[in-house]
Amino acid sequence: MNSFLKKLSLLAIIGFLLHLIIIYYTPTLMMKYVGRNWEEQNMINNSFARDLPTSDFTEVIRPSADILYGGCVYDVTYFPLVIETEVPETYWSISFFSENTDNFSTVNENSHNFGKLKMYLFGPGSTPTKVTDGFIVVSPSNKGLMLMRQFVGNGSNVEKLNEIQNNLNCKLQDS
Amino acid sequence: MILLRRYLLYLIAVILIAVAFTYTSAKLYEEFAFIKNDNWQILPSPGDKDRDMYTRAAVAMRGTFALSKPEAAYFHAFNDIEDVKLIGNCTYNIIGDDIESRWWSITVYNEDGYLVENDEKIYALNSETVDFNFEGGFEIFLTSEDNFISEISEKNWIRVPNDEHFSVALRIYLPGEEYFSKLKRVDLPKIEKLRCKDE
Repeated sequence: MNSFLKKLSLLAIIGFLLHLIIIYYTPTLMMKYVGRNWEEQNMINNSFARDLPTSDFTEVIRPSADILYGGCVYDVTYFPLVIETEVPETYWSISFFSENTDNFSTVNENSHNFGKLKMYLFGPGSTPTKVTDGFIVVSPSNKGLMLMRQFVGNGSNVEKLNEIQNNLNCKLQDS
Repeated sequence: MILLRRYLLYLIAVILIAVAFTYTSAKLYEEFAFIKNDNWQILPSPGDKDRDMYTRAAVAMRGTFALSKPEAAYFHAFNDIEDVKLIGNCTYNIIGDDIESRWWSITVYNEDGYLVENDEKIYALNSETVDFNFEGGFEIFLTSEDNFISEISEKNWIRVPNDEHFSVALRIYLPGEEYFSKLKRVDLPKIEKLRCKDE
């Protein structure tokens, strides 16, 4: 093989490796892009609530116009996060997304369908054993996002759903 | 200086090759990774933690926080039943039957993937807001024509962006675990073109 072909092959291999790196880190970069204002909005380990998406909503692409979104951005590096909410009468789910956007856990009405719900979110490698009053979720990354979705249906119960969303509570266990 | 210029050329070549690989893989991914069912396409479990890195990247770009099965199935349509791109200067209807699930919805997005601006603030119809016919099915009109909207205002309709390509999402929540094993064959609504402004 002449030197030109060798160089070309080497460039192609390095280019391919760079392509793999781009693909691998795209979700993490998207997460960082979506969350670029989270810290200054004091959203880390605090709950947030969003109005029903409209055409002005550009935070994420393809939002569902039928869902009230609330949640918490989490950082469980040092302490677990405690999440508490009232369970609505409509469809709901609480789903967790790791730093690379994987949906690693979802709790919905099939797991718990009335009253109050309490969840403990632990960091990677944790093996919690002393929790008896709520669901345990272990995140594969220290940072990520919890999203609560509530189906608004025909809108008749939207005030109650807003109330539930506004009362969603996320706090570090030690704070 | 010559050496520096040569390394700069190598760097540019590597970046161009990486971009070419990424562009090609994105095209191939669209062609082969999606399950196609008439005018709809779906990734079987877009949020799954065991998905491959190409799926993870594609979902991050298209929907970011997608749920994994069996929570939800997300179908998307960019073309009508004749496989022609959906465009706002044409009027379409979506005809289908009720879908067995906890709930479902049909939403229209503009070319950028955002909800379509409209004074009526109707962005989607769901299994609770859609009017079903006597047979238990439904018909939804997708249009940007004000006159047509006046005519059909009592029926199901969603405004689409004028003269711009758009897409339709069909979300189905809790359809049952079995649903995901037959995504290619399940009955889905059909998107048919009715007419276009310049015809």
